[in-house]
Amino acid sequence: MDSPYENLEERAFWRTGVAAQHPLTIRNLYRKKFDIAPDMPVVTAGSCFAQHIARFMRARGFTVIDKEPPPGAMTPDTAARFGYGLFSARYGNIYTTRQLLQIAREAFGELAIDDPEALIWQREGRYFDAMRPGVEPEGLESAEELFAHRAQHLDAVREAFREARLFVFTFGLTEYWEDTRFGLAYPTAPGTIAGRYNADHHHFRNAEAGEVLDEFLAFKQLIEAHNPDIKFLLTVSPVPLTATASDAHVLAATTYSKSVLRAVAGTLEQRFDNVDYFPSYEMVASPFARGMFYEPNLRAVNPGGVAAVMRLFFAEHPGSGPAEGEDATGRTDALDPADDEDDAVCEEILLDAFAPR
Amino acid sequence: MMSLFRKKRLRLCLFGDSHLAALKRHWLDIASPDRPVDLTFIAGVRDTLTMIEARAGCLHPRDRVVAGQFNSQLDGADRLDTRQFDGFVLIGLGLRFQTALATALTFAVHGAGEGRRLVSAAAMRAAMRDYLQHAAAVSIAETLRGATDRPIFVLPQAMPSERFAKRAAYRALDGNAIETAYREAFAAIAALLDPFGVEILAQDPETRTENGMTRDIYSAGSVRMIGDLDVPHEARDHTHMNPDYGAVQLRQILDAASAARAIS
Repeated sequence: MDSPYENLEERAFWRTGVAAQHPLTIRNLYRKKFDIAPDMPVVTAGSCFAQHIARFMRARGFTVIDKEPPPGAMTPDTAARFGYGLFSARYGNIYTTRQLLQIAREAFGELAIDDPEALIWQREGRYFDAMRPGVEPEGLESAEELFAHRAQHLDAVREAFREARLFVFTFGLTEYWEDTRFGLAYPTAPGTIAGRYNADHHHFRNAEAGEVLDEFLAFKQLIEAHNPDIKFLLTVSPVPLTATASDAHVLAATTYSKSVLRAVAGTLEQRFDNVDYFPSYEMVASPFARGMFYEPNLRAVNPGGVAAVMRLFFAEHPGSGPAEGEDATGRTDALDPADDEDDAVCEEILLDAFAPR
Repeated sequence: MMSLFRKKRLRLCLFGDSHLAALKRHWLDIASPDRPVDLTFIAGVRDTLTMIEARAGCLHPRDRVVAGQFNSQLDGADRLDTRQFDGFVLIGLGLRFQTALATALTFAVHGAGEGRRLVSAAAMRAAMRDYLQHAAAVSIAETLRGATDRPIFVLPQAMPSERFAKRAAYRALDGNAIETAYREAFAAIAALLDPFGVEILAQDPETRTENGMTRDIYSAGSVRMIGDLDVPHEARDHTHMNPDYGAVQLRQILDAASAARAIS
């Protein structure tokens, strides 16, 4: 009797598809569902790991939208410190689907956040946008200025979401903090960058798979209503949680979070022709990589890991950038151990400051 | 000022790029042995004068270009002994306002301009600092301060002339936007130079128009000094000033140097 496994390719079997492969040379881990042409307008969003994707795609000649470019005199490092150039608009890291849905609803006028209590966190007399507290490291001078900046930002987000033909989203976390007075989710806990934690109305949430799926479906439906031709490329960040408020051990909490996100991404990829999944998580976090792509803190992804992930991506979507053998930035020393600084801008890592010493 | 001159001759050393020519031309036009002031000019194009190092109170050239400049401008000396001067002046040397004005065309801080992209004051300051930190004046001020504790005065470039503001691309800038851009760039310059204990001399308000640019009367007829030749700048040049502007600068410098000497 024939077995349904009899004629499968070697990539379908662990021994030939994984154990016999090397992470730096594997090529068939990802097969594209659709083409991404260099002139296809791309929006990127997500957790810190998504910043690498945007940067590498730009360097490879893809048309990554930037609706909020920095003043031309700024260096890239300063621009990143102010949240410029990291994504297609200055929304900072969008760690959860709840945040993603929230900003899309706000941009398209389905949600108005006009209560200063909901939007403004303060620190030392300066005003911070609670939805993206990291993009102005020194805060703003007044609530009025903050609302003006937010209105401009939402215009940029709306334009980006309308013009994109590809939405690249990196799922990051399931854990978040909500202000129950307003039903709003924040990217960081109040009191981390600015604002004050108040147990009466700031509540911890850890989303279940059904919630994450529903939120992304709602987001997808909303975007498609304004942009019917859009496609989605989903990834899951391989970066573990810096800290958990779930009462579980942080390792178990990370496994829960990543499992939920991976399951949702897989569900979406299976369910929709215009949704593809790119396995950056598997490339870095699975036993296949033997931990080689993590920094010594076992959390940050090293430059070699980022390069390996992007090499896998560019093998299917070559873009129009550097030739084979170079990385997307044109460097050939992507695995140089001296280049060991993770240059992504992450608010979440600030939680480490609260860890016992 | 006259009491200063009766005390003893004031010896100043001026470093600059092409923007030094306004003052130098004026000085050569008026200089006489009776004047109680000695000015020594060290001019170099673009960043060439950054190739100096401080050792034992002297500035030494770090390359042949500066060695040649020292040789020709210091009567054959191979180093500049800072103890021979009462103060130092840095003119131009990359401290310019055009980038701030170009940024102001697209960006504005809250309340400074409608229809342009909002940027926070902190981001604008950081952008100006990013741009200006590479100015030769910053490097030279640092090296100079390593060699001497005598006063160092800094005169950034003048604001571009009125003609510049009339160009189509810049007509959108009103006086408020221009003044804001000037202040932001000036604040960035001050922050960059503050560690070196210099005094920055702002452009004399009398030389500026109501909308903040430099009056055309101070830019018409500007020259580039190449050896013994005065080569007029092209008519469309809007950043270099003429000897009349140099006269204003000289007055500012002498007033500041006089005040500094009175205090010391």
